[in-house]
Amino acid sequence: MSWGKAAVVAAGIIPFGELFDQGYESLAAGAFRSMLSGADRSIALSEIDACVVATQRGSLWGQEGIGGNTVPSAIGLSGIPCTRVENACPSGSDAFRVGAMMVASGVHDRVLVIGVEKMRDKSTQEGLLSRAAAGHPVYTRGETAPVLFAPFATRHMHEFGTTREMLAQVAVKNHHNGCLDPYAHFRSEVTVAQVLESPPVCSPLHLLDCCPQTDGAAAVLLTRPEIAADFTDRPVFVAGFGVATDHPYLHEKATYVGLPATQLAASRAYSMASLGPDAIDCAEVHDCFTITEILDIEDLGFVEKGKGGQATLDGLTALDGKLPVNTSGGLLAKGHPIGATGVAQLVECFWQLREEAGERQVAIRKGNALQHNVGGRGSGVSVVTILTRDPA
Amino acid sequence: MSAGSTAGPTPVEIVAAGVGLPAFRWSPGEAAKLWGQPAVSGSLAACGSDEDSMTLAWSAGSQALSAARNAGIRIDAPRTTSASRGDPRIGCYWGTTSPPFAEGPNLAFLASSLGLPAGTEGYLTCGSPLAGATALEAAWNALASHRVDVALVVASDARKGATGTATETSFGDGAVAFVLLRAGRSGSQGALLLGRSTRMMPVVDRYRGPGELSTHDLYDARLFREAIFLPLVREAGESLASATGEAISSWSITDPDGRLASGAAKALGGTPAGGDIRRTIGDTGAPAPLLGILPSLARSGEDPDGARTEPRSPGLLGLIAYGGGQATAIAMRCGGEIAGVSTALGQLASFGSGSTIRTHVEIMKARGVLAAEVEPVPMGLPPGGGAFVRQVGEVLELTGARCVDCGTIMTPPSIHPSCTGCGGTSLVIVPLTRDGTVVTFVVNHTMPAPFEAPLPLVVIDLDRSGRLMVQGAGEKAGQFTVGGRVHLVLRRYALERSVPVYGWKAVPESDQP
Repeated sequence: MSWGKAAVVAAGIIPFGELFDQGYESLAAGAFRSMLSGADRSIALSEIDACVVATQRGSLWGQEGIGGNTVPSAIGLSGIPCTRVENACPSGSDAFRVGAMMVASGVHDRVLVIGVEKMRDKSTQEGLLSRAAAGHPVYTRGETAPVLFAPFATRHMHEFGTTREMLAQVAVKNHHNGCLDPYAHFRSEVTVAQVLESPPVCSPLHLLDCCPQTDGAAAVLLTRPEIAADFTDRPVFVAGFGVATDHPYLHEKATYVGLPATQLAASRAYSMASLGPDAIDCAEVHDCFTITEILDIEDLGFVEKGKGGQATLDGLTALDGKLPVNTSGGLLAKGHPIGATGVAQLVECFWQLREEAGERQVAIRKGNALQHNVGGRGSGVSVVTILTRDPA
Repeated sequence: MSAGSTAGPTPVEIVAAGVGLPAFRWSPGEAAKLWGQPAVSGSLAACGSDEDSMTLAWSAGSQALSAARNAGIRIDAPRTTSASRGDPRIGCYWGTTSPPFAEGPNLAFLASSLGLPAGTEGYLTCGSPLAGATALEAAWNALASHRVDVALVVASDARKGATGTATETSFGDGAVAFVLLRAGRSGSQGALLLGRSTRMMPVVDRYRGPGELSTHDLYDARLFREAIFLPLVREAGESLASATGEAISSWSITDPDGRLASGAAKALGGTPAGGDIRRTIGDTGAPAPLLGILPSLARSGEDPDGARTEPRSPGLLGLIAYGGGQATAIAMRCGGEIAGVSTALGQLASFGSGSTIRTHVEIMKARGVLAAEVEPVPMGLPPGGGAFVRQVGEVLELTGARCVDCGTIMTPPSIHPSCTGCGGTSLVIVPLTRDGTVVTFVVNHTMPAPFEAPLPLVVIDLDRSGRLMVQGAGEKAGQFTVGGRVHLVLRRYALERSVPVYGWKAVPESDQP
């Protein structure tokens, strides 16, 4: 018996990318309007009771202090309750979890969750540095975002013989999927050779092993299951979720071949949903770097620890594989506007479960899709969400 | 010309030594050719962009302290509590013409990084290349007056010679350190300091005025040689010889141009010492005359690899430091081999024969003479801010927090109010070791200024203590391996809003002495 106390009844997203002409509020408004226009029936503004906004790093566009509560006004909902959730890379999925708990608690019947991030208003250099400045003022100097994951690649290669070609296959697969997703930042194929020969960013990771910095926004409407039918005949239900934390500094890790926060969040989500990894039809997982997806599919229980690289080479996670992963193009191709990412992944799961994903639609046999984020200092926090067509 | 001489103070002896050599070596001939100057030979030692007089001082000081400890000399007092009766009182005396802070916590940073107790007595001597000898005198005074029981003398310099001048092609970077005790205290025979003398003269030769960023060199070679340097050095030397009443057969003398020291030694009736070191690493300024005595402190007069050094002379050894219109001469009688000397000479020999020759351009870049015209992005936390002030100490001291309940050691302590192993809150501060094994690592190639690529970042299991992630030495970026052995050295991570920020960097073990 899965949790099933909240339903997703509408979802929307804007094309991700370098969106120079759109400010933070415009991105949010775009996602909201996309959700309204894509809804199965017309939704009146007055039907929305509350809003949860996920934005991870307002300082990237200069408004750390007030990000979030400016969104209701921007989308025509000034006056409603609105709370910003910041929880590192899982901000979007955690905002969704908070929204689901809000409707389950009975306090609000219909809660809008918007993830939005404006990342490209500042130079890449400043974006990198804001990452490098996090944590201890001396010990963490030089730790740009790839430094948080590249040590796992080094060690995974050392222990399991994982190769750069295996990592590259993750990028090849996700860029292929991105070509089929009209909302992806990058819509072009890459080859294994191109990944291997791209410039080194943080050895052993090269440029095409890394996700881009992207502007984007995504929105979903959550309701109590009892009133979901007011909005759609085909709601998708929240089967379960899990959140977990880990020690934030890299030298405190119990292992460098897995992410304990992901493992713990996954076990909580599976338990809440009363299912296991074998019941998942498709998954959107946190592929901020190619190695991260390899770690993810192992930590989520899709493959045995150490076998993620070979499984990727063998096509397990391809669009036509046994367990398609990152059908949207993932963070690598679709982009990673941090606060928006988790919500966008849930939008993709919603569409896949409703079999509305167009050219990238995969076979839905068991009716369940999984969403995963991991991030923060040293992958210190993870969120796993499981959506289902059938909550029983 | 004023004069003064002293003789017969309480004898003290040098019982251990260490050197600090920078990452780079280069051939000044390349620069001389570029500027159309007369050809010069030999090589020079030069700091990488993350090294300075502090990191070199740490390197020499930590080696000398280790050599003393390994020789069984008791030098350590508790670090965190005030010393009790019977604990040795330690003093730290640092001479440099290039302190990293023109005004600031130079000595406190050095003492902290060397793990010396907070109650350490110390002096920083600056102002001219005389500073190294002055630091040695300060140590002598402190021991003789029984203010301290152990004295660490460090002399280091990282001087940027003026581009296109003779100083660019003669200055080298380096450091030397000695541990001294009152004579007879070590149980073994060290190098006994016997007498000293000094001569001064109010002349202006090399100077930097208030508020000025670079040093003026009024070095008219003939005037300086004939009217200033040789007379002062000779008078200081002769006064020293007469005060000690014994022949001084070997002289280590400040050598600005590579020839003056030899001439002065001969004029004093002795042979020059330390010339090979001068030819290998250049005129190091404050440490130079102190480095020059090292070959005489080795029992065999030869380093372990058999490289050529000066033969050991039977008489006394003299050192004469010149700087800022003052010459100071110190006489010593060499006894048995001094701890750490053969290691130090071995390092100097392998530096001279084994290290890669860098280009003039690389040296100019490391010195900041040739700088990329990029806008550095300031870090979120200013170095004067609370976080830095609170947390810089635990970095320099390289401490961890050990859980009393389960033994887990966490680093750094400030971010761990609770044990990561069991959640316990009973934690004690412990020093970490500086050797360890690589658990995993990366090499970062993409960072904004002021970071410099390639920058290795290395997770290390420190021997018998905690796990730590630190930067690795950029010049060794290709030499890290999982499971490889590394050693931590003090380096300058950045000049953050012109404040030096120090931290530890891992160096692969194959490069350790």
